[in-house]
Amino acid sequence: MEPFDHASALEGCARGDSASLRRLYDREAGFLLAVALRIVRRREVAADILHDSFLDIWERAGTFDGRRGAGRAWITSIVRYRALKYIRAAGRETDLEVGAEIADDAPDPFAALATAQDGARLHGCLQRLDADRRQVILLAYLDGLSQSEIAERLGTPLGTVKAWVRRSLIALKDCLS
Amino acid sequence: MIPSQPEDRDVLAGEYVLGLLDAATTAEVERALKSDADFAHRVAFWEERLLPASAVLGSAEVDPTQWARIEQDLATRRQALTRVTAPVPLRPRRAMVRAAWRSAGLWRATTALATAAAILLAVLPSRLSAPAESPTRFFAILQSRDAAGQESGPGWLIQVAQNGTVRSLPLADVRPGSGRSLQLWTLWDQARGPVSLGVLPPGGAIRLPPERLEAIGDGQLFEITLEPEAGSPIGRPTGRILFIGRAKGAATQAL
Repeated sequence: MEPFDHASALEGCARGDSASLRRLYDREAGFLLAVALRIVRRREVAADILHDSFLDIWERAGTFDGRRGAGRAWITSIVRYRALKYIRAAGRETDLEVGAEIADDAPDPFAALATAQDGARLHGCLQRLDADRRQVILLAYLDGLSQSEIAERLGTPLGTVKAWVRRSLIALKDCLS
Repeated sequence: MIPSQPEDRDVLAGEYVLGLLDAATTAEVERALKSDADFAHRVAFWEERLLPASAVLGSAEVDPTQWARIEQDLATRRQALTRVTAPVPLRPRRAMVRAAWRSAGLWRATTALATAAAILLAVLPSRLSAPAESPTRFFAILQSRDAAGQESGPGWLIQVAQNGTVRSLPLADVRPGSGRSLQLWTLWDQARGPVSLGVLPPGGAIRLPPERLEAIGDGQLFEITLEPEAGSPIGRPTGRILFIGRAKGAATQAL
């Protein structure tokens, strides 16, 4: 992918330049929709989250602290927190809707990270964790599963999952710093 | 309670970013993010370092009509009118606008400004080309507002003469940028919403028709928003509020 200066696009939004928002949209809408869709699993809900997130981005761009490279994380966070709030409030649907599934043959997030742009460091640090602890982090981050959902998914006691999260975060912080 | 030990703070920040906290703790974290820069920094660390894990998601197909809906909503929605914090709770948009127009904080700020206005008017008469033909009927000191909705002191002075001439004087450095303009609005009627008084010409004046002038009252809200060069295309503010404040009846003497 061509490099893209998210920070300057956000600065443009802060100045009230709607063309900057459009550039961000053209560049990231597909990715951000994928982020929301993975968490909420329903296409129309994900589309609403994308919509509201772009209004948020426009309105809050002035609060973005323009450190290089952080712009994409900032807009992704806006979408993720919205999606997480939705799923916690609505409760997760066990039946996935048609057209909003995660395929059984979906790529393994950890494997994909090895070749991802800027992914080497996180991949290396996650590699140091046991496979099940690594999975806890990725299920939470990507799928928006709660700790009890993760416990259920992995057949592990909730207390164990909580302890894994804590220890994994401490190890990751140390490794990623 | 946000913990004080660095390790505990990192864990809590990480759990927040992963979405593992319950609603009450999430709300507590979001409050802390506003005031605790160190904690906000730790949250940003996780947001940035975990982002590459999203690479597996690729890109979903966006409905081609989605942008048009966003654009339409941007046009009808005002910039965040209250202090915005991450993440923004969903609120009915029209109610947000009304809430801001009725905000007690704004009333307090603008009441306090009456004093500031008196001082400014004593200090600044040389900078205001007084309407020789007509005494001042109202003035309004508008507070500068940044993109986050934070006010940072008096930024604009509006003067309404008896004959309906509206003059304005920037007290802060403002550059709308190319293709943008500043548009002045006032609220005549809560139900109707803000009404345009026109795009502010550089250093120029706007003339109000008498019937509009009659409708101006003490405490009436004025605001200046950032708009396209020709002004808002939809007759309502589309850009963010740059300056906002209330009218104050002038003393009977001319400036």
